[in-house]
Amino acid sequence: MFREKLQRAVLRGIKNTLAVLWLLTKVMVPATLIVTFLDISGWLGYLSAWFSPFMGWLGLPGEAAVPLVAGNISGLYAGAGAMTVISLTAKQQLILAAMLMLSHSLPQEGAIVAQAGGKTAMVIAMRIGTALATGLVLQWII
Amino acid sequence: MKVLTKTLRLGLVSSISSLAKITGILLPLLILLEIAQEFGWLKKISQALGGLCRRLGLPPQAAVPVAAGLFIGFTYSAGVLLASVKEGDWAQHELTLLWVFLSLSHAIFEDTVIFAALGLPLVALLLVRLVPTFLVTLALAHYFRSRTALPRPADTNL
Repeated sequence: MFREKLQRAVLRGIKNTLAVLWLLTKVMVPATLIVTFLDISGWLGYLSAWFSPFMGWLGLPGEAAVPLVAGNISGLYAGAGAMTVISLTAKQQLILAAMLMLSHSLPQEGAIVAQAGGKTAMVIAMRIGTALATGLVLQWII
Repeated sequence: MKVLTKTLRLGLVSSISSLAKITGILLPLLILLEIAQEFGWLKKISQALGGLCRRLGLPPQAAVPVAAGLFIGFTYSAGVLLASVKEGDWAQHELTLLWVFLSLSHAIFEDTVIFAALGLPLVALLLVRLVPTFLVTLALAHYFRSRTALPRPADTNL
């Protein structure tokens, strides 16, 4: 009885893993290719430069746009990695960390939301909105 | 042409390496989750989260995806999330609410540890993520409730 249950669970776990890996391959590979292209062609740099004037409102330097853009387009790890490159005060680090944790990997996670029947555009808008509002409030209260 | 081949090479290498990393975490985790389900443990954790879901305006069947997403993560628990969403009976606004909540806060241990590694206090990191998440989810639930309570535009001939 116990053995049977365990066997069934392990088999189902393996099957689920394969199913998720297939889903992730469909979602992640195109997203990674797009971001890599943006990076190599220099467009990621242009995007960051375009966003820098807005950074002041959040109490962040212009360079902070790079981790924000990288995190939102690519992933949280990319954002955190880019964050270590620029010099920030502890307050600026917390603001940036909060914004990145609330809103990141938008193409990849947005695709999962779409697969699961959520309203993707609304979910993404709420994430960006919440991140911006949190950044503004934090810059004001801490 | 050079840009394209470089893109393909770097993009595919990084995709394969992240897929390999994910498999390493995903396989034991999904087996453990299936064992938990087979022996009825997940039901107990989910029951504990039922009260939280009700307070957030989520239906009772949201407890399992909320538990999986919040603690395990978004991409890693995609299988559990997709399965429970497809099995359950969900209204569109409930699904949207679930995904707004989970997109804002997921994998809270893993994500927090990355930034804590940069030297930021752990509690502060959890607070700046969870407080906005709960406020936004509560506000959205309130909006959905007020909208369903009002007569629809078609009924009032607007």
